[in-house]
Amino acid sequence: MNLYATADEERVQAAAQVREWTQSGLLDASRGVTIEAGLRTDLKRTNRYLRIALFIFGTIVVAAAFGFCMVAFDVSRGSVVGWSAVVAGVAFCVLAQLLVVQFQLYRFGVEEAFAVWSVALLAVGAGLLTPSGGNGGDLPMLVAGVTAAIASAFVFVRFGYLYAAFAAAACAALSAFNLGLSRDAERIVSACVLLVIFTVARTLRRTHDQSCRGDDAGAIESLAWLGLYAVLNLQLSLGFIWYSRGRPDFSSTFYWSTYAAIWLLPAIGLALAVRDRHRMMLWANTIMVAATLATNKPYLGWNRQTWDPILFGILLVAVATGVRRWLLSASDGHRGGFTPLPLVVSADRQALDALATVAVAAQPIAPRMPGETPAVEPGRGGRSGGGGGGADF
Amino acid sequence: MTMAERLSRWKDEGAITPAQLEVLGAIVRSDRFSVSLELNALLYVGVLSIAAGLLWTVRTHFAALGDTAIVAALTVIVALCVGYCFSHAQPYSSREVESPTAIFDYVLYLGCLVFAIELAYLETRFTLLGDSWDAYILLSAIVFFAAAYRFDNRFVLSLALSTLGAWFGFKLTKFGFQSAESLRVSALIYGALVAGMAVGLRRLGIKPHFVETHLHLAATAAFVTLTSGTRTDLGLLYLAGLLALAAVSIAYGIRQRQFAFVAYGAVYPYVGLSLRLTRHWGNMATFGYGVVSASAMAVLVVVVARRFGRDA
Repeated sequence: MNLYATADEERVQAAAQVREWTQSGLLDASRGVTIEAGLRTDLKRTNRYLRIALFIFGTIVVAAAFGFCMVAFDVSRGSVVGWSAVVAGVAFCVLAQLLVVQFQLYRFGVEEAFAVWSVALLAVGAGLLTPSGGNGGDLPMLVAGVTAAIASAFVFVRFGYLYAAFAAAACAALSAFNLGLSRDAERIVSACVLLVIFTVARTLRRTHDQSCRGDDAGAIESLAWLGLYAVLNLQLSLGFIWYSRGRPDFSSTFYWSTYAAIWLLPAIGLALAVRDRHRMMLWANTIMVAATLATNKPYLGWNRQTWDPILFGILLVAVATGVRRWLLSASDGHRGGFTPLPLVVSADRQALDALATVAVAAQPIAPRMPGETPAVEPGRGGRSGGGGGGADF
Repeated sequence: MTMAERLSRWKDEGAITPAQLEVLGAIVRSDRFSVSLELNALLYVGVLSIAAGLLWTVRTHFAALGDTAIVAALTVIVALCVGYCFSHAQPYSSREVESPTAIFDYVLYLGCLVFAIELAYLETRFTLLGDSWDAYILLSAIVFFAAAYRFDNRFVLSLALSTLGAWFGFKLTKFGFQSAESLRVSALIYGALVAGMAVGLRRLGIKPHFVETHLHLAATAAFVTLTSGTRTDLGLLYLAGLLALAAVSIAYGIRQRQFAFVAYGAVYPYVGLSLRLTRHWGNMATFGYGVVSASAMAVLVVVVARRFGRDA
């Protein structure tokens, strides 16, 4: 089914690893170049920035072409727009496959844009062609969601885009919310869908261990696990976690079952991740632990305090330094193979550089605007007459 | 063929040594598993969380806690962080310097964030600088730059660059230049200054690994500004500037094999030119233009990608 030969994809992945090892000094440059030369394929590839640029231009082509047809043929009726979207979706999907088959493009951006937007067009078209009404559910949204899930899965199988698999899992899970079920039931169905995806992906990962297919399956497994947690953590759906208040309208049994689940899932997941040495699962479950700590108080109906983030931060720092010291304190600097030292330096450095770039957004300085008076009278505790209650800085 | 099998074959062919096979094989089989990145991420999120909590606590409870307690607490935190950094820091070098400890970078980052919170608190509560209140932003930026270069810290460098950007914005609005046009001028000056710093750093050989951070930020500021200006009355001027900057950016990107700059040089001018051209066009002409122009640009970028940017 896949448009690319497994051997080619394995070579691409191996070449990327060899490059990282060379940049990290694990291989000397001359050996690295020789090995990489032996891993060449006929696939045409580019670097990530030009890939993004090509994806943008591909997106513009899809949007403009569809818009042009709509305007040129004066299409306004919902059903005609729907059929047009379906036809356009199929056409762009075929075009994307042609580009791959004809020109051997691999993660080149433009064919990705065509494939990705074909999914969106098919989903929108299917939704528009479905009559609304029924038994309380949102049928057009359900059909659109299921279509998007199937089309995304097809794109993943044909092209191997991991994000298409993520989209397929997300659409499949979200479709449960359009079935017209009770609030408890829709979450249970959604969680079951994600659990099935998790189990299948986990089985595939173990079958294809140490191969690119296995890595993809591992990523899907981790995302499905994370999605399962997100569906079951009822406080996450109440908006921004630090400001959510109160208990949502669910049955008491279901509510407290999910409370147990948000503690159990990360614990089980972390144990699995450590046992399998599965990095994506490690990340997913670390995020889940953080989310559980952040939503614990609202779950219990307790008020959040302003110093909660401070305690949370101190806990994270303490865990990081504690784990590092514990691992390093072993005789040869690792415990059971786990080490706090970087092994492939270039990969870690790239990730930290990306983190440092994100740090541009962490800007605590928020000065008043020109002409704006201080919120409080200098040297005193709050606005006059307000007893300090309205004071802020 | 799995990676472990490939490694064995390369060893048999003499492409790698037995010692390399042992090290790389352990990584591939996950016999050695590094959690370095995960621990760094925990430290980063932890520091951000502490700073956010401090800010929230100070904002909410300053009346109850009192100025003395708040200023004293923040000062103690900053002093501890600064003390730690100076006591553990390696001597200054213009080259890249490894962090002396695992938490060093994050202690410095926390110190800088808390310093910014304290300075903002002092300015807001006591208005020590009067009408020159924006000077504390500039002071923060200068301190952050000094710390970033002294201790070789990219987190603090990002903080310094964004703080300098904030100062430029507020400086102009303070003088009554509150129109979109003046903000564009401000952003262009900021971009030029940051790019100038990058060029200066490269020439002087000071922290050459910081140059790309400066250039990315400068390019983004300048491209966004020029692109947003193409639909104004001075649109032609902005468009000319945009095309000139694109040419420089693409040439630099290809020469230095920094393809992000090639991408900037392709996407932003396209958007700017398209916004300018299609201002008064109808839907059909605009969509038709979109199909033809985006296809042409895609072909052009494919040619560039095949000619210069094959590396994935």
